[in-house]
Amino acid sequence: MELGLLSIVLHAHLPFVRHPEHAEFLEEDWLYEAISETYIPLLYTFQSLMESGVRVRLTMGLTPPLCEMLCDPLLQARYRKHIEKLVELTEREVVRTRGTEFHEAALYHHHHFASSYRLYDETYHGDLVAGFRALQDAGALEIITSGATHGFLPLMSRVEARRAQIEVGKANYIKHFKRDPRGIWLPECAFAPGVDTLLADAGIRFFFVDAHAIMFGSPRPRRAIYAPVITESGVAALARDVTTGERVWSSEVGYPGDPFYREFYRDLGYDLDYESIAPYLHEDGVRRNVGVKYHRVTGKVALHEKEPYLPSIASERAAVHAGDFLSNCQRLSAELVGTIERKPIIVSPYDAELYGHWWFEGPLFLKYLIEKIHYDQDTIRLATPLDYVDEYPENQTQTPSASTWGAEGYNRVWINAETDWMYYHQHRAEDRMIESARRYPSAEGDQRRLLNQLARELLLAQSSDWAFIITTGTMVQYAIKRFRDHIGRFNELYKMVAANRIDYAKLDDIESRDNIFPEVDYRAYL
Amino acid sequence: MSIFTSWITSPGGRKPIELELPVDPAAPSAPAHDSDEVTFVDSGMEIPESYGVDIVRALVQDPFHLMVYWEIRPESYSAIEGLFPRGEVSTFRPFMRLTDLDAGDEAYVAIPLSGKYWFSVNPSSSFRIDVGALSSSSGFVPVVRSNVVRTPAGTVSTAVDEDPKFRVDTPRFVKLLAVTGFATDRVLTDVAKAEAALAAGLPMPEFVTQPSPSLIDAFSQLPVAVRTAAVRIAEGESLAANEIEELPASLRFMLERLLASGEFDSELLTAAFMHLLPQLLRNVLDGGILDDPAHPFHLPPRFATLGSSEHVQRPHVDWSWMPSMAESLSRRQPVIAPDVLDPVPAA
Repeated sequence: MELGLLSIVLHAHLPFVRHPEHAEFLEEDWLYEAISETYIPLLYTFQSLMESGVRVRLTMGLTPPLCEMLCDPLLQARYRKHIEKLVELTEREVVRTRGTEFHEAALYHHHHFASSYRLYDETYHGDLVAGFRALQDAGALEIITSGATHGFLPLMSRVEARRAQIEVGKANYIKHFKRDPRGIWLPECAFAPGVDTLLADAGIRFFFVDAHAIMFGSPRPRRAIYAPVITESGVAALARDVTTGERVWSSEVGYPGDPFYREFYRDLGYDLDYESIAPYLHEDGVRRNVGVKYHRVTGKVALHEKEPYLPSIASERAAVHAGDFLSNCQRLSAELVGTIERKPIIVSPYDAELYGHWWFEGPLFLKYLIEKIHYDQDTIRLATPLDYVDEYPENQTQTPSASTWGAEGYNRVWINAETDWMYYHQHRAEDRMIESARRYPSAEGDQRRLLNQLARELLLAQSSDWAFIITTGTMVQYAIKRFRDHIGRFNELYKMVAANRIDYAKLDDIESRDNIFPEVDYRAYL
Repeated sequence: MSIFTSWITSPGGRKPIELELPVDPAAPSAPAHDSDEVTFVDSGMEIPESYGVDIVRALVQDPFHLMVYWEIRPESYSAIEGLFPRGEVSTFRPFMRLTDLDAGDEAYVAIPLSGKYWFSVNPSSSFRIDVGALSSSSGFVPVVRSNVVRTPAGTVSTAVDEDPKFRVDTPRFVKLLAVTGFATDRVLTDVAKAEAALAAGLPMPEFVTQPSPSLIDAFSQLPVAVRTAAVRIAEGESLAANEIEELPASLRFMLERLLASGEFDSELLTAAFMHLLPQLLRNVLDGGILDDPAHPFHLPPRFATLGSSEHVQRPHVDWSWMPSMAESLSRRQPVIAPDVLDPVPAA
């Protein structure tokens, strides 16, 4: 008997990082690593399951910057070069490690990268977005949109700026997925009352929040976080279930810390002798992670004490963990049915990059979980938010609490003593963008080009990633540079708008660097 | 100085309180952008220090904190001087006024003509900031007014649905809080127990995961009444009326406001206390995000670093709850494990 619905949500996002001005750029590796470790494994997992007759029903967010990067010819060409080198490196490693305890891991990595390359090139022809679109068209995925550049909506000062993030994101979604989005991943799950009205205006029917948004919402939720609430503007809000999600996320009790899983921090980029690894490093020759890792988590030991990684055992652990996750969902559903007098929907959202990039065995875990749900039981069904709403159309009206899914649950990750200086600049750019759009509400030709680029620079400056990176203390200088560059370029372009005089060389240069959203229409700010 | 002390609430009173505060007490200046003398660091394009406009804007950080930035052009500030007698103008000083629109409380801060400032405030309240001049005889003269912001409640709502289909009674809601992990918190209760044991010189109790020493230390710095209440809650008790009376004024004020709604019983109030407790710890520890890899900060689920994959720390876990491995590692031959990228077997 069916007891509950499980809604797995994977939020795939990377900030727009594209540097044509350099032959290679370290931060572009974020994309290349995620393609090999997360996006291709997830895409192919879902596709192969579906082709085997297994029912796949998940929600997946692919943010506009990520879609733009995945479709960018320059980045596609650079990814091919990146993966070719990894295939070559791992081929050599298979020979070098023969007869050692690392041979199994070396074989596995070579197999993985060669498969990634083959799939990217031959199966998907470099167009992963088309691959995900096909899965949506086949009913396996519900793909949702996000803010245009993952801008943190509650910290924007002008409603026009919030609306533009949603509208530009929606237009980009339609470009890539050929239909209107029905759901949205609010950047950082950042909700504040009023945001829902903008979603309703855009025709969006559901969004996700963290658990306390609904638990602390007003009035008190009759079914806690196990049913959507409907905001005053008629959009459904669904909250993540912390108790089941913790098994995947938690640094205390999460699956990714299993001693048999691959150790993220021990990498061949540091282990191999310099002469052998040098051709696979960036031009600066500095040792860095290359994505080939021969050790397992092992336990509470130093990196040099880590033991050899054995993928076959890790695979078994992934199956055990999938079974454990499923039984937790079953237990929770059975416990809830009496209390909430309905089947619960257990919402389980994750950063997609957790699966594969951070937790290498994550895609395999998902594969096993989906198979177990399909073959081994009939109490839990995979469902999307709209599947639930179709089954239970009547839901409680509530105003969720302002909240995010960041540490401590509110805005501290994005506004704190290290990042507070950013907001005055961002807000002034919002004011100036709106003022410019109103001054030229129907610009054509080069004036329109200029205003569209002005909009791109504001959108890029608003990316929540810059404040996030500064707060977490990783690649801080890059995030500061990116924010200042976009505000700086915005101000240069604004001077042209204000003077009604275009510096074409400068405009050409900025357009070539920040080429996101060719379809953008500055009138989103009207 | 903790930023928590910078906003003096005066429930029931509207008397302006002038705070002697350094400008921008909580927030260190923005990260240095200047190039290092030795190594060139590309910090990006130059951006203006000011924009030559009159503006003040407030942003919410969490239920207890607001950030405000402002800029007043000197000519705008001077313009008000023409409206007052010359003798009085000489006493003008630029000031900022924070108004709690719900309680009617006000706080005043001496400021320069541009800058940013962090206020500690109450949850579930609306605020507005005015920037202007404080005069010796006319009081505060506002020049620019901010947007109105509202802080989140930080705990469960006092409102219960009027529609019987969605009305949830308190005992059932308490049960729902327990299922969702919001009734109490394992980590905080462990911290309370650990600190109590340390303070009493007793042996440390057995924990699933040992509470972080930094968290225990922070807890030990909380007021005695807060610690006593937390320890009793950790032992499964509910917050008693006499304990509420002994809590610090700001916390007592919040809890009494919830009680006054008539929709809180002692169990729900206990849960609310636990919801607010992390913010008290935050104020003890203030100075950054709760994310020290050496001492991962384990707060309730909603406060833990669950949000983004960059936060995932490699855990050191007791895996005894999982089935043990049947096979020995050492005797295994290399095997190519199933990979998600393997071709689909023919049907």
